[in-house]
Amino acid sequence: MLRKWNVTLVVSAFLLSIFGTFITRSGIISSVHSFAQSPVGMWFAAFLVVAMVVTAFLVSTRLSDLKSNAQLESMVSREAAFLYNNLVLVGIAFSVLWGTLFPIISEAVRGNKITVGPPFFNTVNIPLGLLLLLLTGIGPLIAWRRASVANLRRQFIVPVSVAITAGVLCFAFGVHNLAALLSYTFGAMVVATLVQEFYKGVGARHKMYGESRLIALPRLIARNRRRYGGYIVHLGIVVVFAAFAGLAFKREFDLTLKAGESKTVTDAWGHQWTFLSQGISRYKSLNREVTAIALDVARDGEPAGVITSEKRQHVDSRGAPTFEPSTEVGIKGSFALDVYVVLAGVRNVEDAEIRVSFNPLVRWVWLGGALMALGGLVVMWPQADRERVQSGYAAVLKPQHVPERVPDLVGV
Amino acid sequence: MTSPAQRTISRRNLLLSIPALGLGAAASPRRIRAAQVAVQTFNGPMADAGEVYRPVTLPRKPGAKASMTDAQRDDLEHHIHCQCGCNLDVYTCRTTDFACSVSPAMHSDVMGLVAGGHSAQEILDAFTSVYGERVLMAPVRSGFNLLGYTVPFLALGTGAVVVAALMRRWKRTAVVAPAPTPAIHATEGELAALDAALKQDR
Repeated sequence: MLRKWNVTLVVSAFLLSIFGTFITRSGIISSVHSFAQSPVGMWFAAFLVVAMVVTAFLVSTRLSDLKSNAQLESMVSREAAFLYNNLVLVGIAFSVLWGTLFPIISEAVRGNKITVGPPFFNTVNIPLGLLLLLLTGIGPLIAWRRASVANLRRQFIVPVSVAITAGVLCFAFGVHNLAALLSYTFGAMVVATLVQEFYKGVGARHKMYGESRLIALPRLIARNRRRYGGYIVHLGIVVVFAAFAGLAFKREFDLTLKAGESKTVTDAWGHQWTFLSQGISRYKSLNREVTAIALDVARDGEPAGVITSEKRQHVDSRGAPTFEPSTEVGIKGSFALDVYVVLAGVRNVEDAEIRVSFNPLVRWVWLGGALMALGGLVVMWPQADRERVQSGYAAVLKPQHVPERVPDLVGV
Repeated sequence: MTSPAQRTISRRNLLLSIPALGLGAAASPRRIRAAQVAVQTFNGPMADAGEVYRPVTLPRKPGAKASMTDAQRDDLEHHIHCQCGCNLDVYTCRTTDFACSVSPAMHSDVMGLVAGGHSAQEILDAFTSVYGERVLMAPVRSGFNLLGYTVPFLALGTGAVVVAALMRRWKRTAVVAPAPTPAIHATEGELAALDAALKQDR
């Protein structure tokens, strides 16, 4: 199913990555990555054209090999859910492309330069992202081929109940940002869906083979890697969305500290952080002049280590400054939040101006990425070459043993 | 579903492909890369304030008090584009790239306007009248710009219509295949267990 579409997506992803590099490196759009005075843009443009021509030729000459018997019995089926998910993902990719190119289009049409920054992308992509998250939760709940009302009711009751409970709890505990609230509500639904899927699969193996549930879980994944690897990817997506929604709890403070002075601020989780300045230090290193501040940090009165932040002015062999000064951010990270300290400036020789940011759930972005990579690996990992007619068992039962309703023996 | 026989990548091939990709990257033409590095120039961030900064002022309102809190002012600065070339908003630029001389100057204009009793919209309008629309971090939602905000959703809607039409066509052409009668690779014991499970679940 959808072979041509899959190949089109693969080709588009490759060509768009080259196109993105081309428009930034060539200086067509303003970017810190542009090298406008170099010919690199022309190289990318030429490569882009060659890649488009070659891929168009390769795909068009192999179209007959990509024919598939696309059959769909119902618009409420898991096959259809794949399509809906696909549509939203492509929609998100398109909105990023559109937002990136819109300043060029606007300048061409109106002659006005405009900026399309984070507020635009947040306006357009947050609703699409939430829709994607919701579909991630819904897709696995719908039966293959055709879903009945009874099937939908049975599958949805637990995840929807969990989602509503999570939403109410989040609101009660102070999550009033709508996007964050919906993220956690839909995320809870996806997690409940995944737990339900694994629970049913493990339960089916437990019943059929008498395996303990601990043994049944890895075997369940190993026997149907594409399905359960996909579920691990879904879990990674939830973790990443939870991390993004954590931005709603970001707290920032501007502090001015003399040597020996301390100030206390509170993070989004209610913990009090005290920053005690050890003073400003200035020194020359091998290739740079450094202005640094060291801060003794305490969390709820307990020592939490030292954070340093530096301003570095790199110099050439004659001691002349090269480019602009750079800032080394002091970071103290945990799974709850990252504390960022930026030395913003020094006034009156001794007064350090620092910016303290509490960025919640930053590490969850990495964790979500790792889970998605792990899920991808599980999906890709080749099966041992053994004859398998189909996943699970098919059995012909004697008429007297055929039940009126066949229970879901999923992914066994 | 792809049957194991149709798969072309074995575990061994997958593992071998990882170092092969690394070797491929290492073998890319170094001369071209070296040539590019040699001619690249730093382009963009940190224009001097003297080149790009333009004062934004408005007459102080009679009996004016500060029109917003510091937090609201910081939030407003998230919507004003620093003109140094960094692509950041004024707030982010002045609090992270402290070598920039443009964002502090724009920040002091914002503070002056806030102290003068001007509202957030009046301040944004004042900046737009001096720098043009590019000083806003997102285009104003009017006129041609509406296209920017609506096209992604229109495209998604169009895609949904196309997908619905395709699915309807596939549904029409779908042939309900008779249930296959696959070869059963199960022992008598396993069949009995399945049978018992089905009965128990009834």
